[in-house]
Amino acid sequence: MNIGLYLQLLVIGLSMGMIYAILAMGIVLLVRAVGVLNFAQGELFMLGAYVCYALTVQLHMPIYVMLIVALLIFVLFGTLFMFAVYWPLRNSKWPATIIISTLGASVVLKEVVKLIWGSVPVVQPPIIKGVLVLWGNVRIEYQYLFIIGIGSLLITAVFLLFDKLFLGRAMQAAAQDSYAAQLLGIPTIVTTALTYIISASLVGVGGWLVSPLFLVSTSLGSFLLKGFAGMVIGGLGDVKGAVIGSLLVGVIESFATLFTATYKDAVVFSVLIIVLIVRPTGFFGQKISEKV
Amino acid sequence: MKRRIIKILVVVAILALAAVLVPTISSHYVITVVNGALVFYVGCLGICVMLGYGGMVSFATITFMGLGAYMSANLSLKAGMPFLVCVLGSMIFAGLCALIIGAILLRLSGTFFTFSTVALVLIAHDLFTNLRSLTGGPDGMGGIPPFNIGSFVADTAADNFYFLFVAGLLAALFVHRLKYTNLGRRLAAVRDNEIAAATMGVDVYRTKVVAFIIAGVLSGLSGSLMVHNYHFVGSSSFVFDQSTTMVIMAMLGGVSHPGGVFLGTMIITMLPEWLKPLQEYIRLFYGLGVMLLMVFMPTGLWGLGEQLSARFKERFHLTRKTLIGSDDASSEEMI
Amino acid sequence: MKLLSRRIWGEEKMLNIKNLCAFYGSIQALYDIDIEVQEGTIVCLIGANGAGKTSLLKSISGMVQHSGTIEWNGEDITNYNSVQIARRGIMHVPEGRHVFPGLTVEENLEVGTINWRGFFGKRRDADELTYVYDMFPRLKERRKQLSWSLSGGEQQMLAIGRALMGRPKILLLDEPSMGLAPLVIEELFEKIVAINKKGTPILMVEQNASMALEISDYAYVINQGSIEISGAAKDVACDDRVINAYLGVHAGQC
Repeated sequence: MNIGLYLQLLVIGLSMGMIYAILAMGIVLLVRAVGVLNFAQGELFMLGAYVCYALTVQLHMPIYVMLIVALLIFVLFGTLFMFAVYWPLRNSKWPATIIISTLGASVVLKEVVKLIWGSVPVVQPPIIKGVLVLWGNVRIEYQYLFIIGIGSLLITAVFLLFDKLFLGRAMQAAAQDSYAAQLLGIPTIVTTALTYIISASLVGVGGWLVSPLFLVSTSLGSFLLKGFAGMVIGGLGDVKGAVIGSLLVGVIESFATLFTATYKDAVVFSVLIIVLIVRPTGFFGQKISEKV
Repeated sequence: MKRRIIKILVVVAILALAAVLVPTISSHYVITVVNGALVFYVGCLGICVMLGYGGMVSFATITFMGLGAYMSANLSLKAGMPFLVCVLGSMIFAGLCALIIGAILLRLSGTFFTFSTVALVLIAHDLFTNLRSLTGGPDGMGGIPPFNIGSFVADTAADNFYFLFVAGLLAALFVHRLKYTNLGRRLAAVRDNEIAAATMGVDVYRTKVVAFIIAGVLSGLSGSLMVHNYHFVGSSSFVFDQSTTMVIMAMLGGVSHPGGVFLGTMIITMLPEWLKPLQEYIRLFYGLGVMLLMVFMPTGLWGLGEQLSARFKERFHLTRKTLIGSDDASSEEMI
Repeated sequence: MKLLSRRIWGEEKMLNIKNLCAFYGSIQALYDIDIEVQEGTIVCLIGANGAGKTSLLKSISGMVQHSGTIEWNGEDITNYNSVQIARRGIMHVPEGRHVFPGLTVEENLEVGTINWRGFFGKRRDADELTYVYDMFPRLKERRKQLSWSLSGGEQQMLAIGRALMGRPKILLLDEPSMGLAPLVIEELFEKIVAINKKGTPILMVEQNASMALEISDYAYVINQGSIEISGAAKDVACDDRVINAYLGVHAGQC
């Protein structure tokens, strides 16, 4: 029983799980608010990584300034994204059009990033350097702990928003029934935009967090799928479930490396498939069935 | 009735003309490109069935193409089977896989199902790249024999064209007829309103799975055609990006019409040729194009054509006056 | 004081609709509708399914394309959007209840205050909550319950209560009786009368003609998008055309 190794794997697993949880949350928020899956979520994540890279490495901004500027950029992006992808199609008869539009957006984002920064991945230095050394040979990089910390903060903040703030309840109302919300005088364009902004900012920061661990490249978008796996395992459409499911995914993936390195993705997705067969609504999902 | 017969004759004439002219007057290069388009066309017809008829966004097409391709490659290279057996084998194999995979994935609703098909493509690509014994790994498998029926072996691109043309035509006819069958109508009901369809006694789950299988079979056929056309198969062909390209092909032309899908496939395949200097920006145009397409022309070029021809008809002679009005009012919002 | 002076001066038209036409794309649903709602009254609009009743309320709330004039206390609100309409205290309770399923009863009610509270205002809805809980004690019992689990009747009460939280100057009710059992409908309509007695005028659209006419002061009958009959509710209820088409029997007092 190599506790040291298991601890390492656990920390890595939780920290990756945090990233997946952030992604999953981004998706679920939008699914609940506008009812459609956002394919470009992974690209917004990737964009976050590149933006922060540009601000820190290329423009040499100190970290606190960078964070504020980055957040402003994410807010801008979230709003732009909504107006480009969702708003013109909000009354469309086929929800498939919105999905496909997000697909188009994901391609656009990827290509634009490629044109600006090139196809060669770039390197983002660690946000927090150094390693925590326990018991002489157990090395846990601070970066992972940092991710766990910031990730928890972000997720808690979003939960608090929806739980404590009246604004959060109004946003939930608009998400659950936009017609009734409008009749009450809730400006749904504002609530939708806010949801997009929160979603884009969440994953944008997530991109920043993960970039020192993986190269900043255009394939960062594929992280989205682990977030999706987390969302399904934890419970479709349920935010808490998505977070827990994603953390689970991170840990499973991490421990899977004990057995196989190449197929760790396959392990995760196999678990996903098993959950789909056995319990399609996920562990915590509670489907409020559509009103006919 | 007369009008219909004339329409059919015109279509047949055009097709016959194309079948004869294209291989004779086009350069070898053009024919190769057209062949490539035809290969994807069959796969895109699967998207026509899933998305156009059934309203389901699925990216699984490319994976089933891969499955069909590898099955065909193995059957012809390792088992020495003749072409037709390979094709049938691929289609059956793809269909069986579609049955199992579809039965699992379609337990998810709408958008979640879509996402799961993305996961499928990624996992499958991983498997394709790593299972060397079956797929030749990243280097793929080469030397696959060309199309052949009996003693007729396809030597040139023009020969390939005939095979692909026939395959495409048959597939298109099948998909076209499918719309008017019971399954086609059930699919349409499911697409328009799942819950209403269920209350009318439609087995929604089963209908969807059947559609998925049909799309899988068509994709398998497409994969088989691809392998015999290029004499090569490699795992890098079966990536998610290619799947999105196929969806774009289908949507550009008009996803609910085989003819529209053909237009879209042709245009997207030709585009890189026409825009050679702008190669770098092509995918960017795809993305932007799709976004604009969804807003301004969700029915694709075919839909646009239908709208224009309807207006044209109204201008020049009275059509049967519709009592209710134009199509764009949603009856659900009424009162 | 304002209310009193109006009563002394004569009946004030609060809501005045003229020549209203409503459109869904190219389909016209309403043809030149004229409707008035006076201070303190209950006005009902009855008609068959598809006659245009919901379109009327949707036009007032700014949710459907329309032309004509809609005046509220002298102000022209024809082209106002739904936020502006709600801010003026015109609360529309939609057909089919539309409670927010994932929120509790109390949260639903709280959201109803948004038109005067805004996103960031302080929570000052104690008076309104008391009013609603007095009116609908069953909602108070279930205040922490998620609203999707309420019965149809309770959801309807919640929807009305939610609208009441918005300090309404008029209530627009869209088919409140839809899908409810007769006993529940009776209880519900009693509450509607009680709300009206407290001073809130009500414009109600209903398919259940007999119940609607029973509690209303004025009535309009709409058929295929046009008003066919209008007048005092008890006169309309005794109109042969109405009896034949909607009521089936003579009401006792005709």
